[in-house]
Amino acid sequence: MFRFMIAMMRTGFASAIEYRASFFTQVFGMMINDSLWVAFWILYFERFPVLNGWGREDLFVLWAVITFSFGIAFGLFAQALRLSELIAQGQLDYYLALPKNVLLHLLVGQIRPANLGDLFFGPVLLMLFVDMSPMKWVWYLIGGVLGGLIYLSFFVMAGSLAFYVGSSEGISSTIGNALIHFSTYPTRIFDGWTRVLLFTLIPAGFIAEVPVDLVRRFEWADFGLLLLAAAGFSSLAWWIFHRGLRRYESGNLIVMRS
Amino acid sequence: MYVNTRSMSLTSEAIKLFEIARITLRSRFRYLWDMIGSTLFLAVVMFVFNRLWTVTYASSGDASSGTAIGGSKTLAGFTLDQMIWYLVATETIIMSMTPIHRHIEREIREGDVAIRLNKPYSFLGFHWSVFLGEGILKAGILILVGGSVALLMNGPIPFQLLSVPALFLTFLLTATLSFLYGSIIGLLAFWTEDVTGFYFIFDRIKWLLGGFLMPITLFPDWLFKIVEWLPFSLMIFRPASLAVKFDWSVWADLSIRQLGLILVMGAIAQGVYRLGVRRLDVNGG
Repeated sequence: MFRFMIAMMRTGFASAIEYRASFFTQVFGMMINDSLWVAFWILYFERFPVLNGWGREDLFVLWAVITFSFGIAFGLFAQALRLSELIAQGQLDYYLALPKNVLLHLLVGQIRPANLGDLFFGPVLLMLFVDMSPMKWVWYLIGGVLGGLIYLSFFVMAGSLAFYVGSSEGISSTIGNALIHFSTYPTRIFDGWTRVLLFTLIPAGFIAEVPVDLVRRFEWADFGLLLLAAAGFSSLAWWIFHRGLRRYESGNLIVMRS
Repeated sequence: MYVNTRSMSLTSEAIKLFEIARITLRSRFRYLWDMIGSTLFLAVVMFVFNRLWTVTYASSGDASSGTAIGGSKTLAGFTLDQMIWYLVATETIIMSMTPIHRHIEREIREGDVAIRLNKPYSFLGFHWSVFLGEGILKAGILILVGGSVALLMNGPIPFQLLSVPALFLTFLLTATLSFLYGSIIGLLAFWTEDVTGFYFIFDRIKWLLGGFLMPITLFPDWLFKIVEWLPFSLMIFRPASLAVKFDWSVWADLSIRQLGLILVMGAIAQGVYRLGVRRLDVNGG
């Protein structure tokens, strides 16, 4: 299965890089886009040095983590962003006819150059602005990968809504965007029920807060919690997708795959 | 005679463009609920902004970053409530604008631009009318959604009902500026085919230096002095702060500046379009 994923990704990468100029403008364009968000926070901290205990360096770690996670989730598994559209238009037929697992095959089917820019941006940001020990790098990479898994699982669950309600592109993207938006801000600005929500229904806390804590001051309890959350959300996404797949209706479309 | 013919053709062009905008507005009304659904995300955005700025206002107690006027603290001339309504205005400006660069890029890449060449209206004029028609409806919905969240979480701010027509005009000028900015980026597709990279760079610079996420008056002095001379604040900060602190003289000054910038950017967009069309090869079939 791992070899299959690597082979698919290699094919996707070769296809994406075919138009080199376009590929590199998208990658660098996204890196500049991310830099400007970080610039906003630099300007913010210039005026307000502390935000609920978080300083400028914490925000750099936060952005390094979320961009890396996002890059893994949607740079390498780009079709997760189109899941509801593919289901609603009955475009899963191609995958159903093949022996590999439908969800896995579908997810590894496309590379998204713009989000590869996110993937590279995170480590570059850390290298330039944050003093990192080798152990901090290890926890950063592990936290980023687990965060990416949670992003991916959440989008699979949101996209799977299409199995149940038909055309759900609007609602699926609203739910997905809500997670992205919550995760780009320090979750410590929220309190009460909002924090409960951010560690359950919209798991931005596991993407934006726990991995940052792993880098800042590692604790096994935080790591265990993140591992559990990543395993829980990915199992739930797997179950919801395959449960929904039973309700799938073919679109009888003749689709040319490129 | 020449003048009359020219003014008649201008009038007929204006009527066509107005009709295109009107038809777009009517057709988009058919998908009103879909539009309302897709703007619900703004509620999430406003909720996050509310928390961020509430915490910021609460923690910035020193004299250098905030002053208390009449019991309510102000930061860079904005009370907390004004700040939240300012962000409703900036979000409305940004989210109501359709990604025009993408439409133009697609038309150029797929060759659809050739279909428009023989139509009795200008290429940019057509897209401008569609852009405004859709933008007006989206802005109305966004104000409704964002305003409801701001009302629930922060309450109202003083607002003059008489300023609505003036603000509507400001919205049209602001939307026109955004349209020209986006279309210049889209027209680069005549040379590069894919403008995504350019869009990320130029659009985010506009966001950052235009005051989308926070008023430019909160920037460090050295940056504020530079940003004041750049066109971006006319596209976001100035119209948005006018909406929360309306003043007729500020409105008149802003309108003159925006009209001047529209003339400059309009000339650039038209120039880029003409240069680009010269490179176009149309194949029949």
